Formats: sequence, C-alpha cells, structure tokens
Amino acid sequence: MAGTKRGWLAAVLVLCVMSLAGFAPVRAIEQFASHALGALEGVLSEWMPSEAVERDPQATARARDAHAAYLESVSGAFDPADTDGDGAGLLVPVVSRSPDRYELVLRVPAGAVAVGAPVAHRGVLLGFVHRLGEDDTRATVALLGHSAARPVAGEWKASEAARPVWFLVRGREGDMHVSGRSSTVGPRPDQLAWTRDVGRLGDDLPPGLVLGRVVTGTRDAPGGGLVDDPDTEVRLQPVLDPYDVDVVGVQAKPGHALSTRTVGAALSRTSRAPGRWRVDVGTTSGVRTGDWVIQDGVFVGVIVVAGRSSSEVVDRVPAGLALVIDDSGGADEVVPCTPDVAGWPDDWRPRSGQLVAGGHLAYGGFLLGEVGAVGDDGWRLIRSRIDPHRAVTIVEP
Amino acid sequence: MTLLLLLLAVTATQIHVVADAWLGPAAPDPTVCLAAFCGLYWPRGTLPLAALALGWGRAMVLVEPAGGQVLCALVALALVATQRDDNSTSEGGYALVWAALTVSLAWAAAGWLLGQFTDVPIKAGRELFLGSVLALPFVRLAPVTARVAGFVTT
Repeated sequence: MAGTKRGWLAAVLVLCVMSLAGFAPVRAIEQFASHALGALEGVLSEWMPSEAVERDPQATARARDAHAAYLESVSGAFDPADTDGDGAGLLVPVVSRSPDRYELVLRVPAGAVAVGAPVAHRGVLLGFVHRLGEDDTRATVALLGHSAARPVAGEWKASEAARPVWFLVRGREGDMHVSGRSSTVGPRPDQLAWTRDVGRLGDDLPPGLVLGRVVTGTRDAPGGGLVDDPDTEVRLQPVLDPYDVDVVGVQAKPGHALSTRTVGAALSRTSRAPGRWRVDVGTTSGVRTGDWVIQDGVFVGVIVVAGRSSSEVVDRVPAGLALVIDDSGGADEVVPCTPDVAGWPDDWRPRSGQLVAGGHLAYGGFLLGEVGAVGDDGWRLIRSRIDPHRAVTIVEP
Repeated sequence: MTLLLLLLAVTATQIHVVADAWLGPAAPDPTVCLAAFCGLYWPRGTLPLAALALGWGRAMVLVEPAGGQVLCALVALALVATQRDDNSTSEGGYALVWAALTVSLAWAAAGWLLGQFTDVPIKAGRELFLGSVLALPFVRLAPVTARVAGFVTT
C-alpha cells in the first residue's frame, strides 16, 4: 500500500516538474482535460456579463495602412503588391549576421524566394540570396562585398546633365570593387552610384537601387599630402551598415502568391485569466505553437501550447519592430521603433495615445495597442482590449 | 472517482471564472471545498491522484501549466490528511470549514513559494480564502457524501 502511494506520488511529482519546466509533450497532454470544459461552457457563458468592447474601426484601418506603407518603404524597388509581375517584394526579418563571411541569414516564407533574388533595404541594394536551407525558409544572403555575389551593373553621374559612367561591381573580401568603367571621368566627392537598367541584357535587377558611395585611392600631392586619385582602383563604400538592419525586402519568385495557414477559432469564455485565453482548436485543425491569434485586425497573442483540440494563448507581442503611427503632423507617419529609447529615431519621441501597429506578410497590418506612458527609458504599450464574444483568426507567423 | 473529481474541479473553477467576471477580486473559488473534502476523506493511498485531478482541473480553466496547481494541491491535501482521524467522520461539525481554511493557507503558501522559484503563472490568492467560506453549507453533507462514496465506513 505504501509502495503504491509512493509510486503515485513520484509519478505526479515528476509530471509537475516537467510541466513547470515547460516540457512540450507534457504541456500538450495537459490539454486533454479541455474536453471537460465543453460541458458547461455553453451554459455558464450565458451567465457571463456582457463585455462590450468598443473599437474604433478607423484604428484597425490605420494600422493596416501603416503596415502597407512600411512594407512599401522597406521593400523599396520591389513592389509589395506586384504579385504577377517580376516578383513581389517580401519584407522579411534578418535572423543572423556573419560579418566575417559577409552574409546575412533571412527567414523567408517557404518556397517564396529563389537563389539569386536581390535583397534591399529602403532602396539600397544589399546583396543577393546565395543559398536556401531548412525547407527553403532560411535564405543566406551574400552581401555585395562577398565574392559569391554576382557582378552588378551600376552607374554614376557627375551631374544631372552629365553622361553616366557605367561600370561593374564585383565583391572581394568584403569590398565592392568597381571595374570596367565606361569613362575615366572621376567621381565627385561623396558620389553615389546606383544600379543600372540592363533589362535588355536579360538582367531584371531593378534600376535605381543605391549601390554605395564611390571612393577612390589617393596619391602623393605635389608639395606633400594626399589627394584622390581616380586612376587608382575605385571602390564603393556601403551607405548603410548591412549588419545593423533588422528587416529587408527580398524579391519573391515571379507569380508567387503570398499565402499563410489560417484557422478560425472561438475564445473560451469560461476558461481564461488576465492575459491568457483558450481557443477551441488545436493540432488537429493545424494549429501550431507560436502561431499568432488576431481578432478583427487586433492582435490577441501567441499560441504557447497547442493541444489536440484546444490551445493556450498568451498576450505576447511579436518580437521585432513596432510601428508607431505618428499623426502629430496632421497625416499619419509610420515610425518603426522599439519600446526602449535605444530603438527610437533621433529627435523623435512618441506621444501617449498614438496607435501602435504590427504586421504579417500575408495577413497584413494589425493593431497592437497604443502608446501609454512615455518615460526616459521608453514607452509602455497599452494593449487593445479583446472581446471574448468575437471569433479569432489563427495565422502562421 | 478521480475522473469525477477532475470534472468537478473544472466545473468549480469555471464557476469561479464566471463569478470573477461579476465580482472581480471578491469572487470565491469553490475548488477549496472540494480539496478540503478530499483532504478529509479521500483514501490516503491515492491522495496524489486526487491532487492531480484538482490541480489539473483548476489549471486547465485558468490557462496555466498544471504542474504548479497540482503541487499546490498536493501540499494542501497532504497537510489536511495529516490532521485527520481516519476512524471517525464526526470529529466536530465544522471539520470541513477548518480543512478548507487549512487548504487555502497551504495552497496559497505553496503557490507563493513556487512563484519565487519559477516564472510560471500560478493563481493562488484571496479567492481561495473566500472559497473556504463556501464550505459552511456543506458541513453536514460532507460526511454523508464520504460514506456514500465508500471513503469511510463509520
């Protein structure tokens, strides 16, 4: 008898520890008991007080527009809406950086990007997708200084009326070397160079993307000192630090239609706690841990445990930049930033009450909440209220 | 019997969630009464199973990892069980109320302690103490129920 008791006790204790440690199989098995919830959900939910959540429909619309505008600005020359042309611009996060190898690694939608796809940030060409891994969801980008990055046709113009100087850019040991110049005319100081339209030669790289700033070598000047020497090797200096970029635009495969796994669900009204909800769908409906839950354009949270027929949602904002909609100038201006001061643009401060948006490539923009108190160390996000009576949509992040 | 207890724990906590929506922090949690009953009458050999059912059911409704609530229930049931007299069901009419208070105290203390070592959400606060008041109407019913369930024979 005592042995049986000790056995039960040991088993329960082990399960408790695994549960507290967040051991996924145990947390998923815990959801089996959710079947017991259904019996009274229908009856008791009728006794719940009506929690009318009033939402400003304009707020979700502005959040959606803000995300679209942000997508367009970062994707640059790759039109986010161009799904049947040369390839839409996808806004994707940088997940790792290798300055030693002149590479970035991006998380991309499976099958959406091909090797060789150009990668840009706000109109600046960064490099090209060099290889794909992990079921085509990780794209390694060879930056322009990488020897594996293909040569790029570029041009600079000494003045608006001047004849452009054409050249090729090749990568070598992290530097962008200029070769094959069409003219020996030297660049002006701080001369910028752009990609050139060579579509007739079969290169569909969008023209007008900034390649970098032209720098030349130096030679001894008569009387001492150094002066620029356009006859020496010309290089391009990046105009932005590619390792400091969090999101980039990458050209999708032509005709690629953005799609994502979405599941409709209902929030449980009798099984919840502040900041935590239960949804009535699980792995059998295709829900996975980490999926995002959205209600009528308002972000609810993230699935933290996916059981067979129910899942747990926690109020957690997706990592990365938030888009503050700054309307102080009359029109909406989208400011991508983080809640802490270090992530704010120079000479800018958010104001309490400004809307904060987020976004999903396929779903579009959604409302996260609004700026709360603004202090010296950052701003606090006040999350939008969730209506337990309304259905939600679960989307693959 | 354990499954029935799980169902009752889920139901009791669901009722608490509804009460919480109306009353806020003043809403009692009837799970305490169930735990007090189990502490007083549940067979000692399978007491960990009773704790599992109570904690799991409560955690399920509160959308928490079950481990925290089960450990709290285990501590609470064990404490009540050490005080009980297995040979009598009539050791004072208010045994259930005292047991409920003990359960509340032990559950809340265990929850607080676990909260110091883990970042797992564990709800174990005033709703438990308020819930022990709900034991009052059941002081006479509890021994009868224990006999009917076959937990005690005297």
